[in-house]
Amino acid sequence: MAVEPAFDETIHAPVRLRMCGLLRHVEEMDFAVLRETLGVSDASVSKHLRALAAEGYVATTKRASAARLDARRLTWVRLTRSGRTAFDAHVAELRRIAQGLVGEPVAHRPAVDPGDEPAEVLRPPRVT
Amino acid sequence: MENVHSSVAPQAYPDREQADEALQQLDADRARLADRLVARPWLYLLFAVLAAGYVATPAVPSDGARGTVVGILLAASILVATGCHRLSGVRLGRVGPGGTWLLGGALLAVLVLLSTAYGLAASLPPAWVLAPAAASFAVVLLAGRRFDRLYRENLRRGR
Repeated sequence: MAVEPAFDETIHAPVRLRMCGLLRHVEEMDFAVLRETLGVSDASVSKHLRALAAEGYVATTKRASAARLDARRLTWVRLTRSGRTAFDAHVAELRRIAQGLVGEPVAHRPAVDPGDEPAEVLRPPRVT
Repeated sequence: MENVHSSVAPQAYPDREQADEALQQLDADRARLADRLVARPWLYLLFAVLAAGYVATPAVPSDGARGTVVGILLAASILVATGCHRLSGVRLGRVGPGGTWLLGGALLAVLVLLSTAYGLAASLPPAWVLAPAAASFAVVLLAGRRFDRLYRENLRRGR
């Protein structure tokens, strides 16, 4: 099925885009593997995961570890169906931009900013 | 520390160069993950041994003992598969048409070899089942390693 390109502000933040890019191609991933593959801190991964979870784009589960002797459980992260759809649409839009096909965004999904004024819709530069 | 609200601040619409950089970064991340997902050398060897053991079960004379051995081998296979994804920290996603054919073909080959082993055990000395068992060992080992390469190649290409 063809993906309808759509810019998504929540996903576009660099770390979140990379997180979604990794999660898109696996069923689920351990938090530590996600952090190590991205090369960012625990705090950064947690923060961006919360932002994605608030949008319903990722889901987490805690499970016992086969590699650990203690009772600590590992956090597993997966992209939800809506997360996959939003990521695919966002990447399709990035491809259109990279190919110089975009003058105006096809769709622009602002980030949720609860309690504040609606996020400003930033227009792309016009292609002349 | 930055809170969630500030982390979802509006992102500027990228220009052509920025969009291209973002896509290249995604490619690089996928390549890094693919390199990380190289299966441990013992994994497919273990699956191959389990498959060979399964195909050799017709050599076990008693039905009860054979059932027990099959049960142990199946439980061990599930344990290895589960333990592997927990140890690697990644549960694989779509395997693609090539991966499906490869795994399906290997499973079919093992079943055909099991059927052959039953035929041999019924008409020849039990030691003859070692031939299909050895064949299934080779099939599972080769198919597993090929699947590993195929999956990582597809991941690298973003398929």
